[in-house]
Amino acid sequence: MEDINISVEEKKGWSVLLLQGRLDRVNAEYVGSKAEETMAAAAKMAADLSGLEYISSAGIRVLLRLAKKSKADGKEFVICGADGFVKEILEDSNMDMLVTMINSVEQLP
Amino acid sequence: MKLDIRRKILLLMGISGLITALLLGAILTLGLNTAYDTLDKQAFTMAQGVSDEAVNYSQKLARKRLENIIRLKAYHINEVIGEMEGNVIILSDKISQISDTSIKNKSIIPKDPRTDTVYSGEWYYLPGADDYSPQYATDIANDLNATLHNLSKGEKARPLYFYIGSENGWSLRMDILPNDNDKVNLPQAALTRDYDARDRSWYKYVMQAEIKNAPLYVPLYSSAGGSAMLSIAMPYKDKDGIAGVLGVSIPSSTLSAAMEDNTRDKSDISFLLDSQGHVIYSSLPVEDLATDRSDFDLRNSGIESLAQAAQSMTAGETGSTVVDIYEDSYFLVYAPVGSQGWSLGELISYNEVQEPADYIGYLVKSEFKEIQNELQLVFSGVRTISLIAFILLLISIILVSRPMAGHFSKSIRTLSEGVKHISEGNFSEELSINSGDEMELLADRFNAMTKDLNKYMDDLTRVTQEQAEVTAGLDVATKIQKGMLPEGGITSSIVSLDADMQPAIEVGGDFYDYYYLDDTHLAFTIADVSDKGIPSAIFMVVSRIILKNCINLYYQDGLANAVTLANDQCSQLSNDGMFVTVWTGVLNTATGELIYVNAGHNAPVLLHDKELLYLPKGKCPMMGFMEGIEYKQQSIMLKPDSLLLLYTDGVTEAMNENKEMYSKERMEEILKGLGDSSPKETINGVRQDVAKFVGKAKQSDDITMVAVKYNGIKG
Repeated sequence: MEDINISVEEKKGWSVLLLQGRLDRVNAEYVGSKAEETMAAAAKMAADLSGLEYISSAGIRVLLRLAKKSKADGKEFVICGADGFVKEILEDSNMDMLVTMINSVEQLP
Repeated sequence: MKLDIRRKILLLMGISGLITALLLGAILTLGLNTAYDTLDKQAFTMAQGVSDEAVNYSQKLARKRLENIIRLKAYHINEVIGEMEGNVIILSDKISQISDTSIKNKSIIPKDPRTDTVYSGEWYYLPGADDYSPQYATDIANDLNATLHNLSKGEKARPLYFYIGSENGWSLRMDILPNDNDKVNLPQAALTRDYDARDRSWYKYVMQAEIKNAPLYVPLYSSAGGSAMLSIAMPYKDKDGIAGVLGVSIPSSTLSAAMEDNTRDKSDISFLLDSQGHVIYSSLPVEDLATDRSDFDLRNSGIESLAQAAQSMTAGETGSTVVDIYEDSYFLVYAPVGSQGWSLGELISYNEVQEPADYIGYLVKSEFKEIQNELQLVFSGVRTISLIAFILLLISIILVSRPMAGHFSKSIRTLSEGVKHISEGNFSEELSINSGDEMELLADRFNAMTKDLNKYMDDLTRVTQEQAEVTAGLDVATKIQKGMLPEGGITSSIVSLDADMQPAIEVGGDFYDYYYLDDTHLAFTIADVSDKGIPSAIFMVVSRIILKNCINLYYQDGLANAVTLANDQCSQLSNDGMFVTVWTGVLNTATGELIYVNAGHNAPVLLHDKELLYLPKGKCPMMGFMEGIEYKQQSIMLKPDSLLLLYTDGVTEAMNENKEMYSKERMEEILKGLGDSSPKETINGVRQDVAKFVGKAKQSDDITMVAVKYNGIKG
């Protein structure tokens, strides 16, 4: 997919979804479906945004949808590693009130 | 002559070489001809197929667009009606809360239109057949006065008629006319003693209905003055229970303004059906679409296609179909309006939709014709070259050896295979011949052609898309979206406000709003709906109405409370994680106190005396995502001559061709440079700076700003 790279790795019992590049309107749907696939197979999922340089509101919607789904399915979902512009955007929209956010993937319990 | 063995062998080799060469030549010619025939045939079928596909595709796209646009238009009408509904609920609630002690102000005395001249915005009283005393009505007038004036300020439709009809027969009314000094003109019938609230069709309809706690759409009726009225009404209560009916009505022609403003072509016919199949409004009110036949149900129309469509319309469906009416074929697109079974239909000349589709088909065919000609050229080139090649081959067979021939035939085979693949529609095929001769040249030429072919296909898709979008009037959707937002700004000595939204190509996204809650409280809002497209546009419209109604209704209990309730309602309606970031504030123009709630939106900039400050943010998430969030409000005192700029991320994240963002820093710089400017100048200044930065890059997000300047009370 254009502009974004998605990979999944297992860490301390978490499925970590690593997003690299730009999460925008063009690829939001693709990322969403990939992420939901990962979530379906995992009990605990983390989205690692440390490699993300841009996120649009469509991207935020993807994350919110994951949060909503995890709540409905009784699963854990955290966002980690948001930095720079992405962090600013997430803080702007007060995402931390809706989703657990931690500084880096190393801090996963 | 005797031949020696070497000569014999040479002769044998020569003859067999010649035969091989001839055979090879024959095969080559045959193969080439077959390839050409196949290609020619396939190109023709392909042209036909692709052009049919393009016609279908563009028609489907056009229909889909039209259906989406009609949905949006329906929402637009729904917005007009929705505001009326909201107002009726607010007023009915308020009347029910009136008690003897709650009336503090008794300064208003309703006028008597039989003796007094009544102006727009003034209460008047009609005593009814029992000649009832105006005492209770006067209490109501005093209690509702401020609320009603605020509500009417927020409505664009004029004229607006508010009425209250009591079970005792009296009526209390207020007309809001286009100008404040317009006189209320009542028909003679309303001035007689016989005029009684209980005889009005809206009164009977509401009282007979089963639903008592929600507004009803009263079926179209003629007012005493003779014009067709659309009315929304519901019962109100006093301490003893239901005491009468309260409502608001507009002439149905007012609605037509909402509808026709956005009609893309005058030859289109739009009409509105109620749940009973009655034509409530029609832009061409003749025959079956006449509006004065309150006993005619369009579902019983003699035109079968129209009757069937009316059936789907009253069933609340969205769709499109072909109907034959007025001796012509039309596309009828329709969508439901509001919650009580109304439906909006639009008849668009069939040709208007079909013509562009046919045109695209024609375009495709001519593209292919060109490609075919090009192919023919290439092929005759191939023929000539293969003839030369053949001769060369002959010579080379005699002079050199056969490996060369194999090499030659390989190039031609590659070429002919490639041609076949391309003719099968595989445009990504690249011929790789590196023989360093004319064959390589030819292959290059071929590769260039497939590239052209690819480009043609891309162009075709783009042209088809653009054509279809023009056909369906995508710009109309954006226009509708813009048309829903208030215009003109506010200019007074104390406060001035201006707002602007530059929509990106696709609809949806941002909105702004501003309205007075009373004489000294100005509410203004900026918001950004996640994602774009028609669903987002609809969510935008809905969330705007909800927020406005909630602020109007519950502002007294605190802005945060109003936003909390609005979020609950929006969350019930949003789906699939849709959300909206909102910044909304209420400025007390008498004191300069600004109370605001920031629901996940970027912080507005406050400019005062060349100092720049972002309004502190509380911890509140965006609206519409989850119910039950307690929003918190904050406040700040604005010093006189402060300017507040609300903006959406479309400003700071506007991207140039290198995908660099405009950024806060650039915005801050231009704001500082603009100095003490008016709201309009500020918005224009930022807008131009953004445009300069973005250059030729395509605008990907709505760019929206609201600027408010608080001048303070001077002197």
